[in-house]
Amino acid sequence: MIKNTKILVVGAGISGIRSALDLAETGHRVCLIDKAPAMGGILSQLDHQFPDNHCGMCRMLPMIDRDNGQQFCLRKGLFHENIEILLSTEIISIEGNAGNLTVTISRRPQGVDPDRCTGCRDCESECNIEISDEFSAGFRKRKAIYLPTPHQIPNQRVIDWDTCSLCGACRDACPTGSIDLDNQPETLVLENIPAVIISTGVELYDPGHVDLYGFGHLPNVVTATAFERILSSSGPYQGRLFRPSDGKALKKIAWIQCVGSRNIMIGADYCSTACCMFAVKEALLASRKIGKDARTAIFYMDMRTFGRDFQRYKDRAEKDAGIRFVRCRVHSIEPAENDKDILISYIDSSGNPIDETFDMAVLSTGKNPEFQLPEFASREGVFTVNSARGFMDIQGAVISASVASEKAGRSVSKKGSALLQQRPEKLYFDAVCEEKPQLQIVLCTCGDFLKPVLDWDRIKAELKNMPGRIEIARIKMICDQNGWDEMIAMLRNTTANRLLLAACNPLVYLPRLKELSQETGIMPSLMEVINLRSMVDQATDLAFRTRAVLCELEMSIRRLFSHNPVEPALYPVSKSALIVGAGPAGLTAAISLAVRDFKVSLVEKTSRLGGNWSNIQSAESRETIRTLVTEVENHPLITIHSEAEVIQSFGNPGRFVTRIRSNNKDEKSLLHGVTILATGGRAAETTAYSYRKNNKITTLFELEERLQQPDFAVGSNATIVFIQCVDSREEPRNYCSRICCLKSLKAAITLREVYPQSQVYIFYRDIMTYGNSEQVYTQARRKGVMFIPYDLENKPRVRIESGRIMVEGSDPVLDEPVFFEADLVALATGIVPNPAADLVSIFNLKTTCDGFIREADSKWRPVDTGREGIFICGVGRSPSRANEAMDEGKAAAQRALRILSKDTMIASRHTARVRHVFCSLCETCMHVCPHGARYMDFELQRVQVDHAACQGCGVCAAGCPNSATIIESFEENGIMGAIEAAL
Amino acid sequence: MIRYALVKNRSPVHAVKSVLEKMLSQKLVDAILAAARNPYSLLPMPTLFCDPGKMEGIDPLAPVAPFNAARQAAAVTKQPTGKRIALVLRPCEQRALIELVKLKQCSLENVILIGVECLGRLENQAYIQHASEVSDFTSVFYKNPDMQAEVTRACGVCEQFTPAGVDLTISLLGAPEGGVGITAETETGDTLITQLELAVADEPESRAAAVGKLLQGRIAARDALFKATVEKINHIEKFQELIATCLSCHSCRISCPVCYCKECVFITDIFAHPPETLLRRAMKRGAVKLPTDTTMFHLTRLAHMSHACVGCGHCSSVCPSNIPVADIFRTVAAQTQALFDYQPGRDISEPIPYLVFEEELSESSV
Repeated sequence: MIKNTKILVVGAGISGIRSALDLAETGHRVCLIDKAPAMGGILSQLDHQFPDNHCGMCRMLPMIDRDNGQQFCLRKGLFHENIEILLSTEIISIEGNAGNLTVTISRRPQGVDPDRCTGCRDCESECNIEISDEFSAGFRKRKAIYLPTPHQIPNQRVIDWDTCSLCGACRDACPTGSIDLDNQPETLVLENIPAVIISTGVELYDPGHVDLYGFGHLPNVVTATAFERILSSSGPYQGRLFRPSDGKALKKIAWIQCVGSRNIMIGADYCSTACCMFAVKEALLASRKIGKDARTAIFYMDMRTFGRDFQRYKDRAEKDAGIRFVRCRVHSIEPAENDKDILISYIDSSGNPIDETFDMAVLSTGKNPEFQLPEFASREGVFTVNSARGFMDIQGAVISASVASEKAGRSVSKKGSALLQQRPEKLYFDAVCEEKPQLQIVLCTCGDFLKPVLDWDRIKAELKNMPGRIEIARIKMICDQNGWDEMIAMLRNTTANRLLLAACNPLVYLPRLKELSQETGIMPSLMEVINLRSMVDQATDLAFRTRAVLCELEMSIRRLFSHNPVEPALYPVSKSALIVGAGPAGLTAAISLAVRDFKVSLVEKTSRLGGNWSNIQSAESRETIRTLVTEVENHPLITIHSEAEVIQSFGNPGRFVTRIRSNNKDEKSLLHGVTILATGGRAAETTAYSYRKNNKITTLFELEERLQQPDFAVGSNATIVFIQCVDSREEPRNYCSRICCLKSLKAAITLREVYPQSQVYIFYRDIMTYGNSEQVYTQARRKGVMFIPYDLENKPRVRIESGRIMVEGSDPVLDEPVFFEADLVALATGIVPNPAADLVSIFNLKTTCDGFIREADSKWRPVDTGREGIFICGVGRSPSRANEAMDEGKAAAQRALRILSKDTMIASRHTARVRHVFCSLCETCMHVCPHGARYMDFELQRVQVDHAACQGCGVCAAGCPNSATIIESFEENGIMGAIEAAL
Repeated sequence: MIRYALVKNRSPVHAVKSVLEKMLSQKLVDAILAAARNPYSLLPMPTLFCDPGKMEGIDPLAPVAPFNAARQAAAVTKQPTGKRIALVLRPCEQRALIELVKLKQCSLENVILIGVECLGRLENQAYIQHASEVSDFTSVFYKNPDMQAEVTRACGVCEQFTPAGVDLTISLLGAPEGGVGITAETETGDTLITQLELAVADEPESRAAAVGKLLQGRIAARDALFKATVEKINHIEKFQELIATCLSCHSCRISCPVCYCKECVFITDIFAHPPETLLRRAMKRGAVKLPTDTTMFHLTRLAHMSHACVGCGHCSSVCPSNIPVADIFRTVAAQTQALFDYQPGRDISEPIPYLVFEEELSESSV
């Protein structure tokens, strides 16, 4: 029985990583498990994400308390002090009560001891078994002992017990004896688990189940994930676009959407949400790689570009890259005459059957309809991330993961669990400043392995010759306990204040340096590790090898001697929040923080709470909003400033001062640690389709309101026409408002229910019922609502002829014009953000061209702004449905908790510093800083660094022409010295 | 609409002097910064005038400039003083000043820019020689095409001899004997012409032809220079040969109007190598040339400043080793500036290339 007070996060894909980091960053201990032998989930296979087509996963890394973890590419691995990671591990059962769960897990040994493995891959070379490699989607073979992901750190292999023959060849080949063939799974019982988060993701649909796709027997029909591997430079063809069957260069590629989604026949009455943009991105990347000969087509039913920036991305793909978008349902995929090619048969929008030949077909597979969450997911104290219920894009997954962390953290805090507080490195700092640099070098000889392959006499002689006080010691094997103990004993007696370890993998990557620091009193920032073993492996001749090692050693020596640590800056945290905007997002965020005992000042420019919600008429929503408003109004820690606005704000994360002014001109200063902006939006105005010229032409929002009135009536045989995307998804308002399709569908269903004889038509471009809201679309079709697609060239027209409303459109299937005399026309005008120019300039933020406040990163940091300590949520950031806005409110609160949960913000080791005596005040650094971590102190006439926000990225130092700004630990002297040593 | 006024006097020098004196005496400005001789120096130095009675030696048309006066112009406009100051500058000085404004080294608030059309400057010693032989050498220079061919190499390839983006231009080309044109591009300049009661006239017909002819010659000379210089610097070894005699005196950087650092990085601790470093270098390679880091110095300056090089040529003029620094800079600058479609001094609102981050560009490199 193992006692454990860690929150358990199940599934180490991006949602799991997000949740684990959320909790770890707020001071919880976390245990992150995954049944796979490597972390990262599906994202470990994907190199490019739109909109910038980079990966960007590292943007999830902690930006506060960075020194608690390692700033590594997250696809390579996650290293954080508060997170323990167990791979090849599954949950067997969860028992007990919320707050005190007993979780039984089963862990399969990986077969290789990470503390000893040097990553030399001798084991893999010796293994005789070859099977298809999952990571490369079967395009490559792998051994039974293998790297689950090629880029992982450390590059330690694992054994696939299902295929391993236990022949022992790998064990015999291992030079460090790190392989153990005992494959008995270990059962662990974790007690006192305060909460469990399920972030297992969803299973993807296997298109091999359906004949029409030809998947499985046609080699040139691949899934979208497999195509991602073909695109990857670490993929089967090094990123060149060849097709699997014959290696022919790809030119003509088709994407087939909704494979396994939106198909009632297989029980998939949902949209898998992410596949449309995934396909557009892949088509765009493919077109760019292929060049002018590219002919790419996407076969789709509705192009679901519902995100704020999706439509413009899709338009660019269509206009600039020439990607063809074909609205149809493909009815068969068969071998073409040249049987390597693919023949796709479909009915085009005019109803003509078309056969078209392609080099390859890519299937956009969505969620597997048979996938089900385990029974324990519904247990109290177990929180399930939404991305484990349905397929989601990165932004959705990241937000929903933070929502789950918020819920888990909230439930744990009720139980009074204590949080960890970070301690600064200050303890031994003063001593180091006084002392002269003195360096201890420890060389690991890797048993006897390194003795004959290096010229040790020369190494010793040259190191002696180097300037500065240097001690040298050789240890046989640091990675085994004896060697480790020997080293610790030696270091305890040394007067050295800097340490250089020349060893190999286990020390380079594993977080043992902190342990070493605690044992020896040498600061981690004054330690360096070099990978001796891998250097030796790379060179062939003794003299060259020795020179390479000496060169590397001298580089580290130069860096270590020139590095003069400065005391880390401390910033006290004001344990309170300012929230601007009291709509669903703002109210939710306020509650999230108040229930965690933080004071909240809620500033609202109108006189009532609830935002747009107070206009919503449906009984259910009304009840939700009333409950939320009441809770906010009655919470003792929430102060409401209604009819007030922000007029000024300055400060840094943990300590902002903001002035607000109420409508009676009273001004007030608020001190707060974080800021959450939830400024919301409002219905867009329109003059299109003769709106306001006749009271039968109304907006969708007005119709919703009228439907609730007791005196609402249209004739029982009425003809009602909805027009979607009014002024939307075309310039200048080229985005989807996300809410209108669902609202129109619901209204249409209501009308059909109340007036079964009525005719209800919806003119649409693409119905945006992503996720489970697809069911409403299905229901509307069942209820006899008629759908007429239109495109921008053929918009419907509304005319008023002597008081009669005539709607004219064209039926693409019949290719004929259609006319209706409508009794009611509802225009889905969409939403626009509330004007935020003033706030944006007060808080020094950015907006999109449509006036939405821009987040730090739309995928990985969706509720952060470019400035640490200031967060955004709701419609002010992006169109969203009310439940989504509330989720964003929770996610923003969770991000804010990273700061509020601390008493003091401690700047990280690597931050920028200004040498004022050299500074010319040109402000270049302020312009280029991506984190808004610099400001001009007009009183002192100095450029100052906000160390709490500074991420040490070094852009300022690169921009500064005379090194007036430098990055701690990367001072020019050390870098120049290292370069000199390398020459 | 550009307004042209003609000012006639004994000589162009006197014409310009009369206008500037009038600006001060009518209190249209509080101060004027312009080049002027003083009793101690034949070389006209930038001088800040407040009293029109003291303007005896003023001569902004003198074909010489001991240095690029942008730095001096920046020195008087660094912080707001509440005073209205007119700066009389050559085109290369004024363009450098615009760059310094972008770098927050000064501000154009309450500043009137007066640009002087510039046929080029002579090297200081050549000018002193002539000026000590002839009184009113400036007038002689403008009458004598042979004299005009004596301008510095940088001036001989300068195609931006006419000021642009200034309030008032003192134009020489095509102006009748003894006179100068004063043209106004901005509203402020226009008002000044009215306030100074200058005689508005049609632009002389000969002007366009004169400008065109000069420009054509300059462009041809420039392209020839580029071609010759590229040959000398298209390999690191050739480049090192070209700068082999560099003394590390940093005169080029001190004379450079856009090299704005308070303290150049090459004189900070970062390049102050301790003796053991030098010895180590010598031990490693057998021998090491001193002073060190000269190649690095010139390459760094090219990296830092070539986008902002206005081609004034002062770096070459001051070099004690006669290294053609300006040739190198103009040639490299032409390429860096073309890369970003950037022209230093063209427009104050045009951002410095390295301050612009375009995600789209990085996307296309996938």
